[in-house]
Amino acid sequence: MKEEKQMLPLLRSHLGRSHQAEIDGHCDAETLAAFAEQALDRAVQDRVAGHLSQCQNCRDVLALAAEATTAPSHGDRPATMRYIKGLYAAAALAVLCVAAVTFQHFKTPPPAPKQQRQAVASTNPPPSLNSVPPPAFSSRLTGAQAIEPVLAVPTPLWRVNASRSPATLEISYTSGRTWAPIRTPDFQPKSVAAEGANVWVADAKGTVLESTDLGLHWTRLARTLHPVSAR
Amino acid sequence: MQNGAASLPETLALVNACLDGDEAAWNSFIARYRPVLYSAALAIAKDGCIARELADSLWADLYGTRIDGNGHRISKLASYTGRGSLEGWLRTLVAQEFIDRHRKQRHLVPLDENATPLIENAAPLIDDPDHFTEAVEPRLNLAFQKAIAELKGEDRLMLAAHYLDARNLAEIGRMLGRHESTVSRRLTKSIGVLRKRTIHHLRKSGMGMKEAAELIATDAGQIAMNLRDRLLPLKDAL
Repeated sequence: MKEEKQMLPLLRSHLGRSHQAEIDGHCDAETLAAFAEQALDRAVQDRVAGHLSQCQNCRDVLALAAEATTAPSHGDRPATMRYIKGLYAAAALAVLCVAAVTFQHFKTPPPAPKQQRQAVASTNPPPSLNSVPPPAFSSRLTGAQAIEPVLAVPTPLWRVNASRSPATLEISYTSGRTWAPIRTPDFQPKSVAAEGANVWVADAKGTVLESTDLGLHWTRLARTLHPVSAR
Repeated sequence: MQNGAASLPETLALVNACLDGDEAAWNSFIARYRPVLYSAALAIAKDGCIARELADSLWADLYGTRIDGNGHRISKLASYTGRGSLEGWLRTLVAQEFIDRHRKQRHLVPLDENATPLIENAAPLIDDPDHFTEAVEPRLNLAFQKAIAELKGEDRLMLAAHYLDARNLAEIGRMLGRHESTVSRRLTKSIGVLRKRTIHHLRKSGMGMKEAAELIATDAGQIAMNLRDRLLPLKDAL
C-alpha cells in the first residue's frame, strides 16, 4: 500500500523513540487486566491505551497475559456479533409471528355469542371437520346454543342445534364458522355446557350426561335436575 | 468474560475472606484459581521448571509470607479491587513477574545477549534516531506530531504494537479484545488519517498541497522525532 509505505519510516521514527521512552510508572496488573477485558470506563480505557502506546513494558505484559488466556474470550467479537445478529433475527421473527397472529385474529370472524345451554347427549366420537354442515346451514339455525370452553387447544365450541329433528349436539373447532354434529340416537339434547375437554349435556327431563374426552365417551350423572324449557 | 466463573461480588467476598485468613476460603481459592495461575505461567514461560518456579513464587505472594504489625499476612491479593476478572488479573500478574525477572536477569548476561528481544516476535530495536539530522523540515515534524496526538489512544497503541513491536494482527487483536480484521481495518484507517491530518497541518503552516504530499513521500525516512515529546503527556498518573 502506497500510503503505508510512505508513512512507515515516519511512524517507525516516531514510535522508535518511544521504544526507549522513560515513562513515569507503569500500569498495575489490575488496570491492564481490566483494559484487556474492556472493563474500564471509556475515558480511562483511552488513557491506558495512550500510555500503552508509549510504554513497551506495559505492552509486553499485556501481550503475554493475552497469550496466557486459554479461553478465546478476547478475540470473540465475531461470536458476539453472531449472537447479536441472532438476537436481531429472533426479534424480527417474533415481530413477524405477532403480525401474522394479529392478522389472522382480525381476519377471523368472532365466535358465535354465548347462548343458553341446551341438553343433548351423544356417544359418538368428535366428528371430523369434513362432516360439518355448510355455513349456510349453520346460519339458518334457530335456538342454537354456543358455549365457549375455558381450555382445550384447539378450543372447541359446543351448541345444541334445535333446528334439526331430533335436536343435535354440535361442536366447532373453527371458532363457530363451521359446526360438526355429534349424533345422540337415544338422547334429546336440550342444553350443553363445557369446560376444556369436559362436556355436560342435559335433556328436557333433567337427565345429565358427562364426557371428559370431548364427547367420545359419556356417563350418566343424574336424573334429578329440574326439567329445562327452551327459551 | 470469565469462563463460567463466579460473579464479581462472590469473587470479592472470597478475596476478602482469604485476606481475613479464612482457611476454608483459601481452600476454595486454591481449588478455583491455582490451575489458572499455573496454566498461565506455563503458557507464558513455555518451560515447565521456570513456570513452576514463577507460579510458586506468585502463589506465595498471594498467600502472604510476611506479617504486618497487626499479625495479618501481607498478601498481594489485597491489591485486587475487582475492576477486571480475577483470572485476568492473575494472568497479568504472571506476565508482569515474568518480564520483571527477565529484565533483572538481563543485567547479568553479556551485552551481546542483552540485545535479544524479550518476546519471540518482538521487533528489533530501532536504530538510534539521534543520527537523524535535526535539520529535517521542522514543519513536518510538528504536523506529524499533531496528527498522532489526534488519534485515539487505542489507535496509537495499535500502531505501536504493529510497527514498533512487529506484532501481527492476531496478537494485537488478543491484546485489545478485537478481532484481527478490526485491527487491520483500523490500522489502515489510522495510516490514512495520519497522512491526511499531517498534510492538513502542513497546509495550515503555509505549505501547498503538492509540496506537503511530496515532503511526506520523500523526507519521511529522514525525520527524527521523539514520540515521548510528541505524544500528549498523560496528565493523570495511572
